[in-house]
Amino acid sequence: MGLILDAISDAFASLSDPELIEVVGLTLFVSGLASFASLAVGVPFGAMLGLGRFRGRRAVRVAVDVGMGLPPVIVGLVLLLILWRSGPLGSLRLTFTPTAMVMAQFLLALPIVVGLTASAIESLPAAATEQLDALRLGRTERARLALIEVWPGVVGAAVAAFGRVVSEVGAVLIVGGNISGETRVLTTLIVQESRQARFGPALGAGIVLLVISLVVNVSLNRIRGVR
Amino acid sequence: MSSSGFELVPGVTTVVFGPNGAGKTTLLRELVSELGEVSYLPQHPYLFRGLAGTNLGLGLTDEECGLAGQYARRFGLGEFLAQPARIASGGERARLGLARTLARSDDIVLLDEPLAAVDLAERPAIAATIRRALRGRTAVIVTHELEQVVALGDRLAIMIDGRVVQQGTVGSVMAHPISEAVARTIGVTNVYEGEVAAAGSATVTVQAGPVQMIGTGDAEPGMAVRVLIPAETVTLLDPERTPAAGSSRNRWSGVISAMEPVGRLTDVIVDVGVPLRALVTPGSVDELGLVVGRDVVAAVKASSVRVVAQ
Repeated sequence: MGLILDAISDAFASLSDPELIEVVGLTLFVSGLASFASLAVGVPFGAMLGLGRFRGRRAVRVAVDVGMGLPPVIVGLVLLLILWRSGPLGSLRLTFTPTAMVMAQFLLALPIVVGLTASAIESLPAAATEQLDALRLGRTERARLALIEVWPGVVGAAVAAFGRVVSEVGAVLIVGGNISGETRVLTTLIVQESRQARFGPALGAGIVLLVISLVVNVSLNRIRGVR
Repeated sequence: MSSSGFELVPGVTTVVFGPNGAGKTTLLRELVSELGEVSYLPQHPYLFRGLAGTNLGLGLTDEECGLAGQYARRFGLGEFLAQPARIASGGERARLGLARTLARSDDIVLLDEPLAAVDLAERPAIAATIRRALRGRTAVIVTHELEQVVALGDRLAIMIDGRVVQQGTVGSVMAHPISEAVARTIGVTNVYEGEVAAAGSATVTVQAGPVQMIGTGDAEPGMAVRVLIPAETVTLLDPERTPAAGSSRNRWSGVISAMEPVGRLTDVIVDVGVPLRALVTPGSVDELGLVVGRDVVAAVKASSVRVVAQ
């Protein structure tokens, strides 16, 4: 019991640690940027997928669904291979940088955004899709109307994407390397501290992570009218 | 010609009529995908988030937009256009969809149950606007209401179980169903074209060729109308034993020109100046001694005579 109580009191003491604040900043930057990028690319793509009647649509849909459950360590490993000094993009020298972490989280978030956006659009009532056909709009205008119609679902996709990347540890650990002051984020900090049996700071980082998740979830859900 | 046997006739409005589940909507969707560039009003028009006015202009050119606005105001949607589309009633959705579809300049117009969600009181005026908007264009309108067939159509196609079983001008199809199945679907109905001679508070008097007919409906003197008289509402009387008074406002003397069985009933065609069909039971045929060439008096209550504006 003493161990847990000590950890809790140390956790609160660690909240004012300047290193933690820096880590929080990097976490928000990496996961926020990755989420935004995945939305910018994934929402239009998801709309096309949800509305589209092109050859190979089913195959793409299956690939996206599989991608939604992709293990972060695998994404991290593959990206590390690609970015490795002697790999295809080695000349960019991106291994163990925040840019590599953003790339990894972008790849994790993208299928979620695409899949959930496509699902939201596929859930439009039949009357809505028949009306879209009847209006004979251009592809962009059609997608725009459909997206506005299902916007709460798109916000839901944003919530899910951010939740997925801010809480994952495997990919950022592999491509970022958990370098103190450079590529350390909340999840890798927790791994680091627990490994050294410094449970207080680990728990402190965990509390901050939970609060971030909570704040983002509640505010985005508020926007889409879910209480 | 579509797979169901439907024939698209250019320059006129064809109404596709049939019971629910006959395949009318399917036929219209087939036409949409076959013909491509058409103005199509789905059975359940859908309004997207945003203002009703924004919805009205979707997919329209500037010129078409102006026209859609005129139709919308004529359909009583003037104030509704500034409202969020989400609060629309079924009737408002239907009228907005109709205004937008009519405004499109495509050569072919396809409307699926355009008046089904519209209040009864508003139907005649909206039907008249549809009729004017479609004049000279190729149009197909699906409905399951006989009254709309008469109000909107030049031609009529009867659809039963996914097949078009009879098509022709509205008057010819309604007066001459080719089979018992068609007769069961539309009934045998006398349809006449005429002009309103006088309009009272409850009744309308129409001059249809040489015959004056008294019926009910919304119409002003001078208007071109169609008159519907279901054959089963026509009573045939013996001229020598006809009571002087009665509740039938319409009494026409004539000669039986033809008789043919329709199921268990007999379809008696009386020439009263125009051909008038009456469906009578075998008992009446015997009792009155109905034969071709016999003089009879045909009586119809004014309440059975529907006058529909054209």
